[in-house]
Amino acid sequence: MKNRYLIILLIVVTGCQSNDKYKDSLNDPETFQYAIKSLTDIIVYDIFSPPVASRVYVYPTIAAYQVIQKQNDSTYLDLAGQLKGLDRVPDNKNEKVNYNLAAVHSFFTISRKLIFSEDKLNNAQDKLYDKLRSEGLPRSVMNASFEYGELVANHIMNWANKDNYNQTRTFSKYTIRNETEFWKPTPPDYMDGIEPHWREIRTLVLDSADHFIPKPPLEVSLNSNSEFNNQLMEVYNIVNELNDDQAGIAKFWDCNPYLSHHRGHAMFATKKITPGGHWIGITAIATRKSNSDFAQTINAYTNVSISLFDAFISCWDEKWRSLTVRPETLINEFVDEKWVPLLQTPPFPEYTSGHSVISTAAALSLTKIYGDNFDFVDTTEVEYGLPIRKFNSFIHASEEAAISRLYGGIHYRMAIDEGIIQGRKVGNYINEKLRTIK
Amino acid sequence: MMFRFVFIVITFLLFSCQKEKQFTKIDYSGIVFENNLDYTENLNPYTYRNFYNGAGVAMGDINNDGLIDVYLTGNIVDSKMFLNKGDFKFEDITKIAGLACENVWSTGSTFADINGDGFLDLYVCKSGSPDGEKRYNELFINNGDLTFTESSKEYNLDILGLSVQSAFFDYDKDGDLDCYILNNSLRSVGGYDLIENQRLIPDSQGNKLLENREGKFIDVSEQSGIYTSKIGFGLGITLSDYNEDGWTDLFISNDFFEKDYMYINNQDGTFSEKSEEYFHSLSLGSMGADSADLNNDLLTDLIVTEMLPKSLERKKTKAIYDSFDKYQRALSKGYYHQFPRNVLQRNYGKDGFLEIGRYSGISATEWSWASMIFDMNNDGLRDVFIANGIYKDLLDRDYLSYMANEERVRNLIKTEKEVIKKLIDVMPSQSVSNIAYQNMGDFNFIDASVKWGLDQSSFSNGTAYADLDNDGDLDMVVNNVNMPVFVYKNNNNNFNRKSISFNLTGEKSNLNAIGSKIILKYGKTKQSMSENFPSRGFQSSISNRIHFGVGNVNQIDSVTVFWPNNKVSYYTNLKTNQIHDLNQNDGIVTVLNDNSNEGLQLTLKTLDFKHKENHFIDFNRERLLPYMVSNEGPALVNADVNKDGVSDFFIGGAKNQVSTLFLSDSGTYKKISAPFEINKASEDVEAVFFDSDNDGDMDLYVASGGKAFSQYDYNLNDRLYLNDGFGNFELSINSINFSKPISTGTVSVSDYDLDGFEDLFIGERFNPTVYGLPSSGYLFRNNGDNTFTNVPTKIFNDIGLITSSKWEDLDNNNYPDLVLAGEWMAIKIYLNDKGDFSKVEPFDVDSSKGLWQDIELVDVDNDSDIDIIAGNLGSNTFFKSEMRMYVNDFDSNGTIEQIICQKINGLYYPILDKDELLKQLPGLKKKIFYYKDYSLASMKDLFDKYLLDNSIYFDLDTTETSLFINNNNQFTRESFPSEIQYSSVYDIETINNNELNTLSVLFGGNQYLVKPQYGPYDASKGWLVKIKSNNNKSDFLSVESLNIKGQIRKFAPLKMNLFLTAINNDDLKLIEINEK
Repeated sequence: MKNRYLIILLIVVTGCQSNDKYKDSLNDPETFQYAIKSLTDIIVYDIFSPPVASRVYVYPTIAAYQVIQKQNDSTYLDLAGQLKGLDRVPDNKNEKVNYNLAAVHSFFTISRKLIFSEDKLNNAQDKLYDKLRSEGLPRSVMNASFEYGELVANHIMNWANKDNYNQTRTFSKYTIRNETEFWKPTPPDYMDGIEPHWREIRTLVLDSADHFIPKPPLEVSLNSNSEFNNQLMEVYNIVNELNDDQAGIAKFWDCNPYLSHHRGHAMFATKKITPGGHWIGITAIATRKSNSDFAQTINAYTNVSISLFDAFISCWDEKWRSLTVRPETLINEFVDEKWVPLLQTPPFPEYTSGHSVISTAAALSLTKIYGDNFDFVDTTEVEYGLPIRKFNSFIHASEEAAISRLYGGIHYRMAIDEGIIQGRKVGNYINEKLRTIK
Repeated sequence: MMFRFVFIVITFLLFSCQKEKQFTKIDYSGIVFENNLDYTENLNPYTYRNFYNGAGVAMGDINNDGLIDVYLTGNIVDSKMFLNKGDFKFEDITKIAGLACENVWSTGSTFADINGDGFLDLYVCKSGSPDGEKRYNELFINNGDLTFTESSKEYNLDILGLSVQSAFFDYDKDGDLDCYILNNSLRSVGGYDLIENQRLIPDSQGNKLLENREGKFIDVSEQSGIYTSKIGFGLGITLSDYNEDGWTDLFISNDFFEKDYMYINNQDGTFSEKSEEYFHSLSLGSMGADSADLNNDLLTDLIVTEMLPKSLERKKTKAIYDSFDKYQRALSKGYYHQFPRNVLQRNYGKDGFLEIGRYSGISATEWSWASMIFDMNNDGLRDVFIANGIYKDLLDRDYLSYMANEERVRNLIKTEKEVIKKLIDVMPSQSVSNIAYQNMGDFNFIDASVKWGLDQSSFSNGTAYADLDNDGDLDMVVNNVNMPVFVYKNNNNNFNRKSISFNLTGEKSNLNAIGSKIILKYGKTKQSMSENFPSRGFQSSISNRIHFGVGNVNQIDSVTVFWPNNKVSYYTNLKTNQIHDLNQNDGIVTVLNDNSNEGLQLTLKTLDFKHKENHFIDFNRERLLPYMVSNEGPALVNADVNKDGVSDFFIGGAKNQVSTLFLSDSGTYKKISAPFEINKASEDVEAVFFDSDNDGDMDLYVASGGKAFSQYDYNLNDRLYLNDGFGNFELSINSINFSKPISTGTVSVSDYDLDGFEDLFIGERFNPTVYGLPSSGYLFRNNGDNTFTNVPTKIFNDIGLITSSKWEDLDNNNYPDLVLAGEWMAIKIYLNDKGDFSKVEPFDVDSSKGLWQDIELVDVDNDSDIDIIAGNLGSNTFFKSEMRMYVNDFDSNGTIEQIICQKINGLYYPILDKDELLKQLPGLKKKIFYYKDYSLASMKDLFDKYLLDNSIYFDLDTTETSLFINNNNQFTRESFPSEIQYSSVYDIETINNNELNTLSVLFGGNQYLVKPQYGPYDASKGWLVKIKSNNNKSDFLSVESLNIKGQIRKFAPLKMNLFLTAINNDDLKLIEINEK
């Protein structure tokens, strides 16, 4: 019975202090920013491919949103019924619950399921909770909030588990086709094509993966008069004559989660955020600059991560339908065997450009919330050794992200132009269908 | 002829009270040397690709005092010359000799008397950053007084490049020494490795063949057919007369993606690169190499080292494998079959080389540099020493994925100072033991590193051996990175295990007779061969005194020396434990014997049918499979179907290929394909001729299988064709009905109920979408009117992955019994009780769980009962007995996984690479985030007990192709001779010769479609084994190669000594064995 006394004693002691600083912390949107940033760091460390990373972002964010929505149902709309297969999350019956803490807790709880380095996540989470405790977070509030956060997390996770992700892990690998026009693995690692069955993942807002099929790519032809050949040579020539500004743009938007460098048998790799991760970073900048409150911050992340998720599915559907060969493969084979693009060619088919599709869709989500003339300084890549860039608007940034793939030598112009159109259709559709604010 | 006595140091008497090991590391020799390598920001493995390649050892008697001296090269440190003063005392004479090569990166060195003055000169290769004084390779001419004069410019040998090693030899037999210089490419690796025809582009910095024209070395590389391209990443020059034509050939081992070169001397001053003709599998990142005769058949075998770690645990953390797709792409671009492991190429004479490194157990020895083949214990069999170690684990998987990352690399991008150095600081460093393999004969080796005292942990590179104290055994010097050099004294008991050595004196400017070959015959049946080529192993060279261990014989019956100028000398009764001086002047010009009459005399004819396997990658559907099972066709059967007394035959097409009947037609064959056209989408893997409708002619049952189908595909259905008596076949519908489509693995015929009608057993190979789940057999009783009834019994349900079924009466009740075999299953016997199988419980042959592809039932030992010959995967594989395959849906996502495990200390560890397993089971990444975690995790650690307990699993007792001798239906397993174990066996045919009381057994096999980390099974060209059978005894009389290239799937004997051979994805062949 010793323990019981101890607990009582603890309650008495903490009760006497009546330290409320934790309330400020829990109202501070930086608390949620911290959670998002922790997740981003682990995504980078664990090396997730761009489409899978979009899945790791979206479910924890949705869980946090659903918690917050319960508290503010006069302002925010329930996602149940709006996202495919999502039922209403259980209501909270415990008045002790701090919704912001429950939101963060549900975010961490789902994140833990989706990432691999649980220790790193636990450390990040414990650091926050220790701080809150030291700021006087009552145990009863904490326990109630955790309980509700976990309840919502379970609900969301049960739903997430039905998105066909687990099943697609063992779907067949892509069988390489030798014909010139088809995609083949690229140097230096000749990695297997990433996520050939991503179209089988359940979309959130789009009807299906092929809701917006872009127009077919140009027919691959090395005939010097063909439009395709013109575009192939455009990639070759642009990379060969790149100016500093163009090179800077290409590198800024590289967003390659795992870039290997070979020096004979010696190798090393660099890791960066994914293209989706970059837009999560821009969302952080936008929410801060606009002084969004806790709920507004979560709302912004929710809109952006849903856009990213569906945009990846739409883009991957087209990539593994058209199976277009990368410029590097054709240039090495027919034009210049020593040619190397500025950026390492990512391991999946060329058409359409993923960065173009997802950046456009994400930019439209942010524009819907923060308007078209939102200028900002993009500092997302600073910690990965790259400079800052300034943009007049989200669309401005997304357009630069799109064209960067041409400068980088990894996409033809058609994949960028059509990618932007595809991203616009996805983004506009989601903006129209998905309603979070009353 | 002269000889000198050897001082036998009676060490064994002095040390007889303590058990001495074969080698003792000597610290008092005066050879003080340490190849210290400190990486800096500017010079390190990232900026200089060959940073940790280390340096070499050269041996030779520079002052002709009969004591072999030692030169050690240093990379950053100075090189050193040690004069042998006898009794393992050496004096550092570097300074007076002028051989320090200070301030320049020295690599390989070799002694050779280049100016023919009777004193050994020294050639030192240089590498490293391309600036600095005396960066070019240097030639030190021996002044005869322990001083040397650098004369490279005078001889045109001041070559500048990333030189690794040189070899001096007389390739054009003009009496002087020419030179091959191995230059590693300046080009950085990565990005362009799969581009075709790169090796054809000449490069001035590349490899060089230099012809000696009166003391000037002239570059003749291009006109003599030597590749000098930028993709030459050569690390070893290995000379030998590989094809026994008396002319020196060259083997160049190339690191990275480029294949190795086998330059065959055309005897006209040119070479032809014939690696693809001589070898099937090459090592990928080839390092050093050595050639010598390992089995005393007088043919020179070859060992090439690579980097594969030894234990499964280290393989999982330190090795990176190419994907199957990348291997296939490299193959299509001209980079041939290369695999990440050491190779042992057994020279099989006119049949080329067979790669048997996995059979011999030498294929994984860590990051290996030198391989040196020499007789360490003077027992008459050459042993193998492999020097290994890399100071920093450049390929540590965790380092690459998680440590070389984060802030460090971010800093690297910002190009802060000293970041590369910091990056390397955290790179793991682990020394490993060198390995000595004791040759036990027949290409079997045991790891004798510990037993022989050679197991010090180190980072070892170049190695050379010689009898440094003239006591009759070979001592060894090993150059190490960041550690003192190892000097090993050999403590062999030279009274019991003797040796004989030869100093050869040649003519003209090849005074040491480099390129000579010596053959010994002794002890009635024994023989041995050695060649005089000093440059060997890795960046090293041995002395030109030739040593033979000969066991306990006092004299050698005959010694034949084949001199480089085609002269031959013959000596008899030479004493052992002596050094003999032999002179080329004694020789007489002789024409070499033509050896082409040895072995089987075969006539091979290609027939007009090429099996064309459809493009299907099993691994894309089931990515954990180690090798493919979709290329097991074609079917091939023969019978006289038109009753003209001549055998007709049927061959099956692959998916999308029409099967064909070859019908005899007045001395030739007509090709009939019309009846089979409609089923071309089926893959016809098995077939049988039998009388289905009881009308006295041969009807045809064609079994379809393969894996490139869904399990519901009707193209999996077998078909029955009826013969009208004249060889015209028509499809018979609805005679045989299955409850579902099955991928057939075997079909066999027998009148099991003795009702006069021939019945069928059909075994299912696998579920085409799920490998591993046991499949079933189907017994169809012939009703006599061309209808068949599926015998309702459960005993054939869920048996296994059935590949073979055969009928014979095992229990002497006149009713034929059924024997079944398959992959991951025991050989099963179903006894037939008067037409009923349900009464007697089927039983497994003891210790017979294997990966069986075919069985034959025949009385091998002539004792009137039926024995079993069973074809297995063989021993030239990383698969071992006691392996286990677990089958389950390990992540409950609806897809079945197969996890093949190796048993280590009673626990099962997956053989899979972590990335491969995690792509299939991503949830596991939570348990095993780091490669290190995975390397230590057994199945129990990876999966919970409930899941494992509810998995089905299959064990292996043996991978050997075996003979099961019957003794009252108790079977005892015997192994077939070693050659049969070199590859997988897919078909066995037996031919009885009653007159001679011999049984001839044909074995055919090979499987090329294997993931690169396991490597293909390709070391068979078909074998003919003759067995002499006497009462209760069988002896293997002979094993001979059939010299058929390819993946043999079926033999069809037409007559004695005449048979057809069906090869997957290749032409149908007719082979005749000509009697000698």
